[in-house]
Amino acid sequence: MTRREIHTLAENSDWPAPGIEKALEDSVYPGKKGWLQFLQVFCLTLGVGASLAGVIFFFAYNWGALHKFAKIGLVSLPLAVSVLASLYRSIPLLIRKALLTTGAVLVGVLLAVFGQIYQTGADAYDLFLAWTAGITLWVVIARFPPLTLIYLVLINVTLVLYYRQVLPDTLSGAWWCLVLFTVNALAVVTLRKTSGKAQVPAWLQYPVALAAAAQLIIAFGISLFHRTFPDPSFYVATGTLAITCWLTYRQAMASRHLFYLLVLALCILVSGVLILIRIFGEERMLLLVTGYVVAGLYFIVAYLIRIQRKWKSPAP
Amino acid sequence: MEISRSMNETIETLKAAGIRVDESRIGQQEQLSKGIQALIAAGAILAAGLFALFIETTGLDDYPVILAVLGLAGMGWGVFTSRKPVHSSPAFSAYLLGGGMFCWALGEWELTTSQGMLSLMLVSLLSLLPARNYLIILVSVLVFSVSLIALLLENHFRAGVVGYYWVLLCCMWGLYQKEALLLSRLRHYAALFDPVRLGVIGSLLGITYWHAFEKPTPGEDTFGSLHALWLAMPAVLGVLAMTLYLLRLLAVKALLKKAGLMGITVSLLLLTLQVPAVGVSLYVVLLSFRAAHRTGVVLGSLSLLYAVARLYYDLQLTLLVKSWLMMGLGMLFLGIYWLLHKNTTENGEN
Repeated sequence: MTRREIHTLAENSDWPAPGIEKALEDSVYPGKKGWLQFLQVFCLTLGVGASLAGVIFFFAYNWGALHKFAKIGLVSLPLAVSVLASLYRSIPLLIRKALLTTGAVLVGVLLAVFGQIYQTGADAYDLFLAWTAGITLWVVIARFPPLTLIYLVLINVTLVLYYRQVLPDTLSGAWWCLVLFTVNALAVVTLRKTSGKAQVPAWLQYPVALAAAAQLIIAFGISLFHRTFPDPSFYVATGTLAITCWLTYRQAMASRHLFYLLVLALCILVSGVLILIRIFGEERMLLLVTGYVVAGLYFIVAYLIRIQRKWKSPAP
Repeated sequence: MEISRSMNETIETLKAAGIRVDESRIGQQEQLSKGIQALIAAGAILAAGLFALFIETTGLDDYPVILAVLGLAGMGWGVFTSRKPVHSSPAFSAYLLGGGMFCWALGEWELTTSQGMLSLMLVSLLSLLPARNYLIILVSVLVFSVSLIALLLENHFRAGVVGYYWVLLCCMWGLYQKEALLLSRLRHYAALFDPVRLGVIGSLLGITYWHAFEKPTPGEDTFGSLHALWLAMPAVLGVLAMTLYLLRLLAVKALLKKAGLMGITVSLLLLTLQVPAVGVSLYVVLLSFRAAHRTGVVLGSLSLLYAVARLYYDLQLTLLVKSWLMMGLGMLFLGIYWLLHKNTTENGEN
């Protein structure tokens, strides 16, 4: 039984406390095994985190006095150790993957140190691009969700920095947000396609899907309020928004995935608000927009409750 | 709600034992998923923001009586219509918009802070009792806590804040360790259980961070100048109580092992006395995990991460000593991990 079921049953019966306690202990609370797992993860995370932070701060203290080769060596050595140790089969798989993730982070540190010592004059996006490209193979091999998330964050940072440093005057923000959306949407599709085989947890899709939705809405908003409205970016953003909403709806209904319906609902609400503000412009009309949000939310929630009820009910 | 097979079996067992079960009411009850609640919260906040803009641009804020009446009406409507899940979104939106208007009116009337906070406490308490909506209850608990703390601090009654903080720590212990007892004694308020629990965590963390962020002013009786020990000690005692519970659960019987583990815990906790947020966060994480409350574990872990970073930053030591300290701590935790891993592997529990 779930906690919710136990609470509902307790609320609507004279179930005595010892019985409720037993049900909670049996079905909800963690036992000895659960506690041991929790303590192991807790100690491993704190142990690795604190050790790494200690090492980093130790070298930060002596940084100025170190020779340039020593600086590079100090980063390269743990990088090599962590990557080589991840190949060692007698180490538990989770720790090997965690070591490879540490190595992936150290690649970026090494590139930054190299750039600082030799004053390569590279733009920030160069560093992130090299970092991203350098760890691609590890991401594919490791199939470790935290490493995949770091990789996706790096891709986004690289693209944002590239736009800011190279393209700000040649391309409008809406177009670039659409590019970012395309990259993240493709990532979500790939994660969903590989989720069956490669043990991709659902939580990994959530931040990427939310980022993609936010980028699409920002693109739509920028194009809607641009001084040259309506320019081609508006039509492309609107088309992309409509197609994405339709595909997301179909996908969510087919896979019975509530999260995507929620993202879709949020997209519809926010884009509706933007359109209303664009049409009416006047601040007095904000009452109408507030009404739209409240009413829209009501209908969306009612619909979602109905859908959930339908999904939960047994097939005829 | 959908009655699962295991729930059905429990209902049959209870009925066989002669215990009353209201099956028709169970079938009628429906609760919203966390995702839908998050959507409602986001939408209501968006609506409240837009409405606040509307009030400001139209000059409606010049009529505080209208704002107060509309605000209280909105809150009342929200509280009493929130019982059905399908009405949750307009109910919470009305409650949030109403609350915002009521606060605005209080501001326009230029009441003293004490009067304003007392009004907010009263309103939040009154909405708490009849409400059955997760979000409304959560917001009410948080508003009540913030108003009470602000009221006490405004009147330079720091001991009152410390007392309230201790009460919250005890409440949290009760809410997490005595869940079954509370459910059986307060059946009609079962819907309040989860949001009140989250509200208590929010209030506890809020007080510790309020203390951490308020810079102590020399010669002034501010909350920031209150000694950290007042907040750190009870949390440390709570963590020690949880450690004892764990030692019993994990059947650690050897006295030397017990003493060693308690010694390590006490030494580590003594290091954190300067930053109470570490102890409180740890207390939240342990109690939440004990009761399988995922939101609590996530909130506590994030807070712990921040608090440890802040403790490290605030330490009045050189970077070199700090780095050694951090590495030593890391080695200690890796050692404990190794011992745990070895034990579980040897006992065949992995």
